[in-house]
Amino acid sequence: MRGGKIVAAIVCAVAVLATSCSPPPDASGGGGDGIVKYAATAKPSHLNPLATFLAGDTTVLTLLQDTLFVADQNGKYQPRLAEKWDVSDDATTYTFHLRKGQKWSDGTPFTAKDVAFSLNLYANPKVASPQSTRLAGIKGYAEYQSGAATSLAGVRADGDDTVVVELSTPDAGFLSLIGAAMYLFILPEKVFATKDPTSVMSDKWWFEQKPGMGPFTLQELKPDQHVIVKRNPNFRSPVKFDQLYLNFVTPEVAAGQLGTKEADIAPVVPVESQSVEAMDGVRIEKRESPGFVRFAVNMRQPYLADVRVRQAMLYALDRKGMIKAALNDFGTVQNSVFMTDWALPDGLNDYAQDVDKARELLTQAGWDTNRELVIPYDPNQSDRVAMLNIAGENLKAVGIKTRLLPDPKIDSLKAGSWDIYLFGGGVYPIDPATLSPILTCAQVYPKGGNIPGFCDQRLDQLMAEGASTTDRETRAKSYQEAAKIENEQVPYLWIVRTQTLAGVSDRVRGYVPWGDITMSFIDVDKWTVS
Amino acid sequence: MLRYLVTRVGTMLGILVVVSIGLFSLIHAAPGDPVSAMISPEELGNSEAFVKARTHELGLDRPVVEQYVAWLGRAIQGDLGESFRNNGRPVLGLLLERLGPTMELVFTAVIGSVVFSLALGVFAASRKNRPADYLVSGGTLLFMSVPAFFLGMLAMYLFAFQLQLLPSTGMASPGDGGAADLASHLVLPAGVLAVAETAKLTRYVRAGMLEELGADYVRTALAKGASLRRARRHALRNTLLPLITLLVVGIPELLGGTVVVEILFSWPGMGQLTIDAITYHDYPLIIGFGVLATILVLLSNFLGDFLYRLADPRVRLR
Repeated sequence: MRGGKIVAAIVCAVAVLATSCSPPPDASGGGGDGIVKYAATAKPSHLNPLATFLAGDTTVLTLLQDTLFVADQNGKYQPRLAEKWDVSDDATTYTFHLRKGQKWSDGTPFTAKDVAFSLNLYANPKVASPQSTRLAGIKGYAEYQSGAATSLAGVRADGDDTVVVELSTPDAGFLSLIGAAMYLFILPEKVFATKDPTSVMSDKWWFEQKPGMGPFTLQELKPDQHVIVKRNPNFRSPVKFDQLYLNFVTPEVAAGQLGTKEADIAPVVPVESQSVEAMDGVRIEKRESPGFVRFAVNMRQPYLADVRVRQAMLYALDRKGMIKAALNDFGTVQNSVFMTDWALPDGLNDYAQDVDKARELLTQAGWDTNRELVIPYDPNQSDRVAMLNIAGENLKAVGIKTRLLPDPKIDSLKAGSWDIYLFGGGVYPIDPATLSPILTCAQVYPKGGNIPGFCDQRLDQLMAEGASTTDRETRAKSYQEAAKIENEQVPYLWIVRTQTLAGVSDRVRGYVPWGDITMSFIDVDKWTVS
Repeated sequence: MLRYLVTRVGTMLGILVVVSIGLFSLIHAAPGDPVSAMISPEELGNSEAFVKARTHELGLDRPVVEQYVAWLGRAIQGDLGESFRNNGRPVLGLLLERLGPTMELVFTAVIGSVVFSLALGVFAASRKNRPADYLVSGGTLLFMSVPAFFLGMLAMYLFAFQLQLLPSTGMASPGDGGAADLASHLVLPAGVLAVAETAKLTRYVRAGMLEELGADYVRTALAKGASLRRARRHALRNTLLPLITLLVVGIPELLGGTVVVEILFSWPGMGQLTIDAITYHDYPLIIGFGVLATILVLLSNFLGDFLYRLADPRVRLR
């Protein structure tokens, strides 16, 4: 009897608790006219553009700061702080003309001095920024690095609205180095001029970000919870709504929040696309990624140095099957690292799956079927895990054993104890010059981003020739020949150019997805909210 | 008592030092390093100067023993160092900032599990070997077996996404943060955390009650004319004694369970912070968390002994 009363008391307590809960999540369309909610799946950690280029930080930085220009979805450069730019015929002098009358978020004038200062800050050897190497072609860089000079001789502010950058050698791809993505955010000279460059990496300012040149200013930053930003009235094209909330959630939860209206926009993984499409008042927007997913092949390993082995692995892979199974068909097979239309020749080998051909090549190369290839991977990326499982089966079918090694921070890569490594990203369509860091001999890791350790002197020569002139036809010839060499040598097992998906509430109009999800807010000034 | 306290505190300090040495050794022996972990794979090649500068700035180029001694010297003064990742913010400040939300989650789960386990345990004991008893026993076994992450995802799917009764993630709605809003955000994560604990405690309460109700003193009391209700009250009081110990000693286990819950529900507690710290080799934060967790475990054991003494004056603390 007493137990029954106790149970009844519990039921009453639960009822009281339930009724005292706040009303269900707002089903009327989010946080009112002035607020847009974004479910972010990558959290910021330092908000420091001088440090590294991590997705969570870049996403938030695009709200608060800006760059001179950036490559857009159509293979063109979109003017931002710079209205236009001139390139000399010999590709050594770049003149950037800033938009007139721009102001920082605190209302103070933005001038060419801020740009010149920022470029010097990125290149400052005491700061030791990883972004510094993007400016390595500028005149005086070596002297600045060695301490023989106190600034970059090739950078100068010419009046309030013009910045001139002179290179030590011709480089037609210089724009892609600094603007293929939002790499070099321009920082306020008045804030950083007085700071010690050796300690600027840990400065508290990074969590304040005021003043900024971005469309918003930082209102609240709660790590692991959310970021709230407020419209910057001094932005060149003020945003049409008041606030943006970024809530940090796991990818699985992001899609669900679209359905409950806890989010207006959220990245969507391919496996969730059908359930998101079925939601009321939500649509899927998609765009091709500017990079692609591939296996780097460790050519330092003697058994992988034979081109026949690499070609065999590519012939063994069912890349279309991987795209279907892991990405719900949201992607296209890639057959080269070259992604710029005019740099791709006709007649590249598409390495369509051919198991017999793969076995034949392996036999010719004397492949040891007892050997096991080590594949490090990040277990948090479910689509990559699915691809790896399929790849493992494909390779096993031709006699290549594999072993997956969970390694989210790719420590094995740094230690050299790996064979093939699946990764993705990059921003390559804008200009084939962006491929030098992943292809040329001087960029073999750890010196550069050429993770496979691939080195072909003829390809190097062609890449240099392509960058040495602004004439499109001459460049195309060089790069097309380079693409043929790369297609034949297979330093990477190219898999897929993915599509980036986003779920968008019908109350947000004008949202144009970018292939790179970190650039979700590039055109935020064009959004309207109902 | 004073001798007991001094001995106890001394033991706790000794344990803290041993734990810190163990943690220091483990994290430095583990593959990877914090500076390389700061770099995205695409930038591996550009970062030699960055790696060198940051390694020196963070003192990681010094011998491990020297690093530990320097850390110990600061820790004795209450300074647990600066986080490698969070722009050099003090570790102690970061942990204390996150301790609140985690303890809010844990204490809500504890209170909920005590209330429900007492009620369910007494209910089941008073209906021994009847359908209601079997239902409670079966239910507790089931909820003890289900992993927290599965339960959490199920709860989120049902209550947040399907029924839309509760918010899915976070501690508060941006721009809100009122009491009702906070309470609604607390229900799912605290509930998920409480389920396994409630199931465990319910079984103990049921077993304890049955044992006490079968004891001689209860039979004597009933024979002398005491009501069953009065007898159960005495039995419940004696059942509480081991329950207190179980509860207090179980708090560290609950703390461990918060990691999964905090990540799933984006709850900004120590669990999330620690996972990030481990993933990115943020040594000061890992050690800081280890030290703080050790302190909490030691304090909870200490509290358990003390409460037991209060509940039963016959217990002597040595």
